[in-house]
Amino acid sequence: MMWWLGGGLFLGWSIGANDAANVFGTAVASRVIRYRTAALLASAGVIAGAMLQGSAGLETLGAITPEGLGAASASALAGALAVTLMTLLRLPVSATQAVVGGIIGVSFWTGGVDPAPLARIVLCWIATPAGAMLVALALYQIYGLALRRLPISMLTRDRILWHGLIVAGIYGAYALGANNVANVTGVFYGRGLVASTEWLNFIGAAAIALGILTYSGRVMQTVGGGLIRLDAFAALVAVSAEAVTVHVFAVIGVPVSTSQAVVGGVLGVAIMRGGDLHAKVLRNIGLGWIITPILAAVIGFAGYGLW
Amino acid sequence: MIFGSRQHAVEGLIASYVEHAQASVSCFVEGMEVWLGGAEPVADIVHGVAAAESRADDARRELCLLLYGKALFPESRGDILGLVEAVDKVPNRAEAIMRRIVSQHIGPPAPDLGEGFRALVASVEACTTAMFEGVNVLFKDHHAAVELSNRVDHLESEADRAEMELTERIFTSALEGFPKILYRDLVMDVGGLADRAEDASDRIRIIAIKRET
Repeated sequence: MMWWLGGGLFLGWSIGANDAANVFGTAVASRVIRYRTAALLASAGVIAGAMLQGSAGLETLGAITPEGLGAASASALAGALAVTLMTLLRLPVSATQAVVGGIIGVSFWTGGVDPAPLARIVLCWIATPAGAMLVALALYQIYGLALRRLPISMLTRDRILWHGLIVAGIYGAYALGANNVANVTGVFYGRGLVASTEWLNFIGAAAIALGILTYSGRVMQTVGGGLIRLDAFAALVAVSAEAVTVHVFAVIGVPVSTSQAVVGGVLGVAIMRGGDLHAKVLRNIGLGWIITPILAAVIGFAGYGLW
Repeated sequence: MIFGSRQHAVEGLIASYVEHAQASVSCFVEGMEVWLGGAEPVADIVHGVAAAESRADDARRELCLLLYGKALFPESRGDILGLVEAVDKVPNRAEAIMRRIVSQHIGPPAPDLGEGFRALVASVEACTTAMFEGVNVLFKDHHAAVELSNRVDHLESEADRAEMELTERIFTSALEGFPKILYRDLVMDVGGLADRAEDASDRIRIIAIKRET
């Protein structure tokens, strides 16, 4: 069983190592919380999210995955290889887009992909940063209004933001688990590889948690260091917007990229503050959208064809 | 250390710093009155100003160590360190003025100029008091700090007026050339206290406004 799941589990580990930074990076980099505590909270959040609300995404990915364990496993492996290659090339990457790309690549040999759920998924990819940006615009107003109304000192304001970042981090981890577990084990949904959907959820969540616990520290410092330059309020808005957006898509049942969601949140803050929308950031999202699925599709197509 | 205890430690040190810095300015005001009265030596008062300033420095150093130890968010650390540095220029200057009076043996001015000095010192005291209050308010209700900053601006303008009037009076008086320059420099130094208070108050305003978003 582990052999078939290998590609997916590696992808899960990679999601945990990279994407936990999007929810707890700011808090860790600014020492709101210790890395070890953040990693444990994030792991618990991911497992809770996957177990309680991860099934919808599993069904969606399962619906577009070609029949047969070999094809499912090859799709996951193609996604994992694409993520690794993109990371090595230091290019922006989305695990979701990699898995879907892998599925498309393998599907060339197995009769094609059902276009309706695929179109829904691609539409949600576009909606992720846009949605997170809109949520950030709303949260900026709501949080700002609440803080303005409170007769508090500047340090009490910091304290509220301090706790807010922890709560948003836990919620973000929950949303990450609920949404991204599908990337890990979604291709195996309905293939009879494990006894139940709950087990698929748990195995996927455990892989993500392992990535968080073993390799997310440095990424958290790097991503968090970049995010914290926004200031604590902006970081709270961006992380909350990312969490809400990713959670909404988890409920809808479409796996999306937390990195693209957090970028959308940052853009929302930038709009509220009259800042420039960095062309480089937007270009990176575009590159992630285009290169990742294409690369994964090519790997899936070539790999499954050779196999 | 959890955030709550860091917050209380920082707030306590800031309150202590402001208390000592303000005591230093109060000693300075008292010293100027003694000097203007001309009956008692000013040297003892200088020690009082220096001692209060030194206690303020101790609190400031302790605060800096706590902040360099990564307490609070980076942006708040920077803001607080910058603010304390700006505020610290007020007691430092007050001490320097008193030392200057003593070391240069500057005698008290004639009564008509003395009144002008009193008016200037009163304006400066009001301005610095409002600034110190602004620092305290920033750590109680930062929204209210902006109003106090506006008051400091107004009081600094009054101190400027008092400074100009006194300078004019010095140069239209019967004093000889050298004492005129000596008193003018002293007036500029005393008036400079209000300028320093305004600089610190501008920082308070920026810190408060940044947190209105």
